[in-house]
Amino acid sequence: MGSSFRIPIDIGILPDLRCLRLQLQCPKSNTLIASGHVFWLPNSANPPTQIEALQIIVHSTTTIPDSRTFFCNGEADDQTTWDILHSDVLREKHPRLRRITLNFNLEILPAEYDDQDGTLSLSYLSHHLASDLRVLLAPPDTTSRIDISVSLDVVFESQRLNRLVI
Amino acid sequence: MLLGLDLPPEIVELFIDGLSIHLGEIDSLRTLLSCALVSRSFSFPARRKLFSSIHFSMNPPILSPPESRFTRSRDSLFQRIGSFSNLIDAGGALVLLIRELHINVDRGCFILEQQSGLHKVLDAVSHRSKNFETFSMSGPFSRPFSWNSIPTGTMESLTETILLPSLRHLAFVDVEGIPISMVINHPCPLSLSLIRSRFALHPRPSESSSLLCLKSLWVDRYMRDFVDRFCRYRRNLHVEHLKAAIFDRQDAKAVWKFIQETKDCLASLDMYVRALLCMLRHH
Repeated sequence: MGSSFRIPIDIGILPDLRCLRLQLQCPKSNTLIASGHVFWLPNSANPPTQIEALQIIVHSTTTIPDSRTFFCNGEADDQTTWDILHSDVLREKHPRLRRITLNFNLEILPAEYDDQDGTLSLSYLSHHLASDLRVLLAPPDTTSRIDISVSLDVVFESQRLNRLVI
Repeated sequence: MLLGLDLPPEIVELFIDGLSIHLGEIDSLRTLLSCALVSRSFSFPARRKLFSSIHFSMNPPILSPPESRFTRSRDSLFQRIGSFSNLIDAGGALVLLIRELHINVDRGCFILEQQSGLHKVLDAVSHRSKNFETFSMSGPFSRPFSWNSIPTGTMESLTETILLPSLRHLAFVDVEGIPISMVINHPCPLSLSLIRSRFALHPRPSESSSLLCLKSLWVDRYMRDFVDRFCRYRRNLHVEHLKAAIFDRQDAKAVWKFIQETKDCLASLDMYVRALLCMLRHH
């Protein structure tokens, strides 16, 4: 990471903070930007926060709509880059957290999304990406009481819209 | 009485509320105008919707969808402002229905000229409206205008309107050199939005120890300038909701500095982060 741009904001100093909303505008990339490139949860000496609602909105552009690789950082260990939002991880520092809302707005550029028939099912792609997202945030064996809402809005670049099969 | 039906007021209200959602459409506007004339029971709720939010613009969105680029002439704009001013002067309690005032400044800043008559509308609102809550002013996109370029008469009326105790929401878009005194001297907690807008740089600021309450604050662009020109002179801040756009490390530092100033009362934090810089450096 070196001199990468991180936000030096420790929300642990905000005793009354109830709602945290982050909108991330990511550059074009074949993988989703790693959460740690933008924000991270430090092991702060501050007491646990009072946050009740966390909303993250991600605007991203990609050329490879493959859920197997998109949510990984492309490194050898194939570790997900968004495990920071795993409910078990969050619960430790944010015991009052009751709701996580994650909205992905994913724009897919042309030249990469055609399958063998020349078209790609938007609903199929959205379904798989959304499923992967939910698994990232709340694996089936999790017993969290946090209400997790994930939405994924996949759009193809506007000039290719007439080729979609939805 | 409508077609022999005596509708309960709450049903009429629901009907009118449903129309007002689509006030941006010309058909809904026409329907509301008809409702204002159809019967006594429909008249007041319809007029309340029609006059609750007033927009002054040379490019009225209701008549000019983006593709049409309809623009009024300077004379036409002045005529319409004059007609509206006469209407609220003659309309008795009509001015009490005005809750929001939105001014879109054209590239020539014609609307701010003394001849436009805008100051008459503002004076009517500031002197007679008890329910006025929201004021916004937008400059031409990508060509922000300076507050100092506003003619004296219009500026005085604007200042008086903004300082109304009933005002709760104040927004500037593409405006430079806004007097910081309008916020600092405001008698009640405000929700303040500064979109691509900046306060004026005060050459000799005075330190104030009084508490400044802002219900919410939204700063998009110029976060560093905001902190530099605002927070430096105000130590006692009470901000409950903060929304900020962060484009680089300096913006992030400015947000962090602001948060530290008001950390004990911040209940919600909403940040827009552009991660482009991060990725460029990373690779």
